[in-house]
Amino acid sequence: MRRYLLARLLLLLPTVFGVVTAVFFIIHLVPGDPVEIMLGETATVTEKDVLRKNMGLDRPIQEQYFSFLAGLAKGDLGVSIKTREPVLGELLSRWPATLELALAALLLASVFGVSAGVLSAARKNGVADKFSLAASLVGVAMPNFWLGPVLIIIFSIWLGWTPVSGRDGFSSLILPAVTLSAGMAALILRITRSSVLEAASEDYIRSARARGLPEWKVFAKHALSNGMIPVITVMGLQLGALLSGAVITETIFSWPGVGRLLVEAIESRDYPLVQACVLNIALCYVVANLIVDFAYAAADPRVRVER
Amino acid sequence: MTFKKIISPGFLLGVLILAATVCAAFMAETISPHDPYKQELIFGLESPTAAHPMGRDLLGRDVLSRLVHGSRISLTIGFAVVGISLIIGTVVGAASGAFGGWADMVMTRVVDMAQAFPGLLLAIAIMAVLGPGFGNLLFALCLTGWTGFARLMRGQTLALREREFVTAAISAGAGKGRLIFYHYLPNSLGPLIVEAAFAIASVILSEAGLSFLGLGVQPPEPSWGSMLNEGRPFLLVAPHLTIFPGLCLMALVLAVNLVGDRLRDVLNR
Repeated sequence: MRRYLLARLLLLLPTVFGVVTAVFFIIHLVPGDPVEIMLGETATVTEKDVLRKNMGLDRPIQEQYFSFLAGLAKGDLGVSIKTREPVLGELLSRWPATLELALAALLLASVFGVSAGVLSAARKNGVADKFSLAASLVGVAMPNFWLGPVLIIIFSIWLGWTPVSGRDGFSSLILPAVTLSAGMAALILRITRSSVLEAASEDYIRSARARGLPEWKVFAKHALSNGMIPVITVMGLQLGALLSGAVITETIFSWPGVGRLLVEAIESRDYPLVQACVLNIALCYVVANLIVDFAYAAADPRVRVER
Repeated sequence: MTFKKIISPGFLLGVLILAATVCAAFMAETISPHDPYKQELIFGLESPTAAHPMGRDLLGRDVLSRLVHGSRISLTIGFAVVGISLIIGTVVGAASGAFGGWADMVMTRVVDMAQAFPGLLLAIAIMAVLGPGFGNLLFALCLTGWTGFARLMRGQTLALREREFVTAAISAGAGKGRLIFYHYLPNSLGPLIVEAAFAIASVILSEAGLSFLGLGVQPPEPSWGSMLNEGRPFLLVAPHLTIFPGLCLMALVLAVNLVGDRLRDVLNR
C-alpha cells in the first residue's frame, strides 16, 4: 500500500505542473486581448500600452511564464487589478465558505444517494424503486441554476423558512447545499442501485445465504460493502462537477466562496484573479481525485496490487 | 438490431420531446405567437395571460416566443459541439490507438491533462478570456468536449487491435488507414453513439450554465440559460421568468438522457 501511495503521489507532480501550465497558457495564448477586454474598445493605444506594461504582458511569453512559475513557487499568485491586493489573500479568505458548501453537499448527496439507492435495490421493481429511479432521472436533468431559484421561490419567498442569499449560519447553508447536491445525489442513487444489485447476484452472496446468515446481514455485510466500490469512483468523478457547480450555486445564493469570487473577477475583468481562481479550483480537483484514489485502493485491495 | 428492440416507453417519451423541440426550432418563425424581440415596456414582467401564456419579461417581450426561438441555440450548440468533438476525438483516439508509440503517449498525456480540469471550469476560463458570443462558445465547448471521445475511441481501438478479424486484415496487407476506417470505426459506432447522446445533454447544460453566468450567447438573442439569468433578479415579482425556461431545459436534457439510456442498454449489451 505504501508503494502505491508513493507512486500515486509522484504521478501527481506532472499533473500539477500540467494544470499550472495549461491555466497560464489559456489566459495568455487564447486568441483575444485581455487588455482590450479589460479596458474596452474605447481605450486609447497609450492606455492599453500602460496597462500591458504594468501587467508584464509586453514581455516575451516564455519570460512571463517563467516569472509566473517563480512567483507561484513563492506563493505569489499576483496582484488583483481591482483591489491592488495580493490575490492569494483574497482566495484564502473565500475558501472556508466554499469548503463548507462543498462538504455539506457531498455529505447530503452521499447520505441521500446511497440510502435511496440501497432501498431501491432492496425493493427492486417496487413502488420505492420506481419512484427513486424517476426522481434520479429528473435529478440528473435538473440544472442547478434552475433548482436554486425554484427553492428560493418556495422556501425563502413563499414559506420564509430560509434566507434568500448570503452566508449567515446553518439555515443559510441548507438551500445552497441541496441545490449543489441534487445532481450528484441522483447519480449516486443510480450507481448504488445497479452496483448493489450486481453484487447481490454474485456467488459469494449465495454462499453467505447457504451458510445460514440472516438476510439483512447478507445484504448489509456482503452486497452493500462490495457494491460500494463503484460508488466511491463516481463520487470522485463527480467532485469536478461539484466544484464547477459551486461556481453557479455560489452565484445564485451570493455565497461568498471561491466560485463567486471567480464570477466577480470575470465581471470586473480582473485577469490575475481569474487565473488564480481557476488554478486553485483545478488543483483542488486534482488533489480531491488523489484522495479518492487512495480511498479506492483502501476499499479494494486489487487496485493497489494491479497497479 | 431492429427498431422494435429499441422502443420502450422512456425512449418514446424522449423521442417525442426531442422531436417537439426540433420542430419548434425549425418552425420558430411560424409557430411563435409573437415577435421574440418586440419590446413593450409598459407590460414588463406581466404574469401569464391568455395572449401570453408564459408571461412577459422585463422589456415586455413574450416569454413563450423567446423560449421557442431559444430552443435553436440549445439544439445548435448541443449538436454542433458534439458533432465537431466526435469527429476530432474519434480521429485522434483511433490514430493514437492504431499507431501507438510517442503519438499515443503525447495524446494520452494531453487528454489526461484536459481531464484534470472540471469541464465547465475550463470552459468558463476560456470564455472569460475570449469574451461572450456564439462562436466563442462553440470553440470553448469543443476544446473541452473532444477528450472524452478520444479516450473512448483509443480504448476501443486497443481492444479491437487484438481481435482475430483485425489480425486477418493485417495479414492481408491492410494499412493503418484502412484498419481505422474499415475496422476500428465501424466496430466502435455503438459506444460512440451512446457517448454522443450523453454528451449532447451535458453540452446543452454547459451552454445554459455559461449563458446563465453571462458568458454565453448575448442579448437580445434568446437562450434558455440567459433567460434564466435575466429572470433571477425578479424571483419575487415574476417567478414565471425562472420557472418556464428551466422546465424547457430540464425536459430537453431529460429527453436526451432517456434516449441515451435506451441506446446504451441496446447497443452496449
